[in-house]
Amino acid sequence: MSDVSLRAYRPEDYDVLRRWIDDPAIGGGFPTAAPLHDDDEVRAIVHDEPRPNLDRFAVVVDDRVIGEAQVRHSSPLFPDEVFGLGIAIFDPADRGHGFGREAQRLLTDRLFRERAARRVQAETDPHNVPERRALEALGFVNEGVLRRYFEGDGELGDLVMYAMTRADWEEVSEGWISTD
Amino acid sequence: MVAEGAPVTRTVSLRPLVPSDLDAMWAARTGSDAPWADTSDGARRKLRERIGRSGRFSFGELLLGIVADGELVGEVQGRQPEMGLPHGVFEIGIEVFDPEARGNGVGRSALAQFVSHLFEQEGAHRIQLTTDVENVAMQRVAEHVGFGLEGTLRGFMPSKDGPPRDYLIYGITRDDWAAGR
Repeated sequence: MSDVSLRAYRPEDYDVLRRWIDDPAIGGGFPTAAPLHDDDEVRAIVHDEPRPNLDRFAVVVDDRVIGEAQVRHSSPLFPDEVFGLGIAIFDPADRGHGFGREAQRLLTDRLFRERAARRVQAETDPHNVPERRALEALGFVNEGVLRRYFEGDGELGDLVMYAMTRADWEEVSEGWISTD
Repeated sequence: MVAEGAPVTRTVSLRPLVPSDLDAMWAARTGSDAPWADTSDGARRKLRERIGRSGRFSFGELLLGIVADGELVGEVQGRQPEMGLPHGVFEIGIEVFDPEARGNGVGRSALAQFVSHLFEQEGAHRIQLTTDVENVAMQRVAEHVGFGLEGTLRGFMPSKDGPPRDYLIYGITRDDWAAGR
């Protein structure tokens, strides 16, 4: 498998991020209700301007930015040392190769190693089977379902909560080979 | 000792906090054994600022006082931090800091009123709260108001001495609330 890495955004990532950031394919139809990004916001992201509570990383495969990894953290979102992960793979053609799972693993490992994480959580659409499989394969534990987290049509809108505690990580990461 | 499910024996209402509430709230804070009770120098100033913003959503928080028989006995908070929760989802907290107001339905009544306010006035479609796995009183209050237990967040909250605490997450949807009225 091609090597997956995470890095800070760079100004030259503007075109790829502009192309995908508001593409409905990213959410898989999941109703996020997030407002669309104007060009200045995209520019701010690729210039890696810091924001409270949110860090963004480019997911890179073969020198190509194929997605984004997000980390939410700190008060008032979470207690100290709790982090929330989100991964988006942009082009549907790049899905199904394990890139998202590897990005998730790299980021989780980094949070426990470098940022004293106590708990790393990742929520996903209960119908998003590939992401659920990826999280479970990494050792994330299903902790429950938050009902109607998003207001959407039909069944959409629930959120399944996965998390890895530091104790979980100490156990499962023995089998991880760091490529960082 | 008050029997479980005892009727509310006091008149409970919610109101915005006012500057003259500061001393009572600070006294409650400094007397609290809650792990999150911050009694540092800056905390009193922050509390004064929060009181000043009480009554309206500001900085992602709505703070109201709980009044029982004319006396301030606690507070409720509704939070919707930017980037933290989707539109229409609120996380709430409740603290009854007067021990005499505990166990007689004051918290339950205050929580029910606050939940109704968020659904009726603030456009909520879901309200959630978290509480320590050992805080049985809070769990009973939540269940009585119509919240459903949705999961266990392992190691969610740091503790002053000892391992991190598991927290339960409860949620109530607009449909749950409408069905229970």
